[in-house]
Amino acid sequence: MTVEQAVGAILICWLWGLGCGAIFALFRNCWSRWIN
Amino acid sequence: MNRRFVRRVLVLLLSALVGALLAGRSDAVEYRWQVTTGARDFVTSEPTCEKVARAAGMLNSNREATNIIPSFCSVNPLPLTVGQSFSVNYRVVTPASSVTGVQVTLLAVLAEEQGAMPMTAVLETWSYQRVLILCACLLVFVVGFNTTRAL
Repeated sequence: MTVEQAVGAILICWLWGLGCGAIFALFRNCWSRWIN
Repeated sequence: MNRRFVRRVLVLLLSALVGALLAGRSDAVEYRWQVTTGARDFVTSEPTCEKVARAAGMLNSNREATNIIPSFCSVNPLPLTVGQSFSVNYRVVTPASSVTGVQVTLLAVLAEEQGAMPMTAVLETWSYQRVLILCACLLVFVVGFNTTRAL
């Protein structure tokens, strides 16, 4: 694995987290009624 | 639509866009060609066969040489897969009506395992380094998640 690949993997994970966080925030109201 | 909703959608779209760009970049393959013509020798890293041919002086615009580049590129299709290489001699009639032998040799396909891209100090494949990278990935995932969740 090259440095470039490692940096890419970390960046992609960060963006993945950003995306998942955004999805979570967008749909929080949808599933809050099921959770609570 | 409130501003918070718009902000979340924008972050989602932006992260998808940058992620797609990064994914595309990770597949990028770089070529290095040694081109030898009668006139000059040079190294180029053009990504397509047509560009390599043009760099070698094969012109496709004059009437006599209309099919030079398509025929050259049908013999030498690009992109190649990693590790492939070839060397070919091809005779070209240039616009100045001189006949030139052009040799195009693929020196290297620079891709993930070759470790020859600009940034490339190759990480030694020790397991603790992989674990470290995995931990870093998890950490940045959590950071990213919390960043947008709170928006």
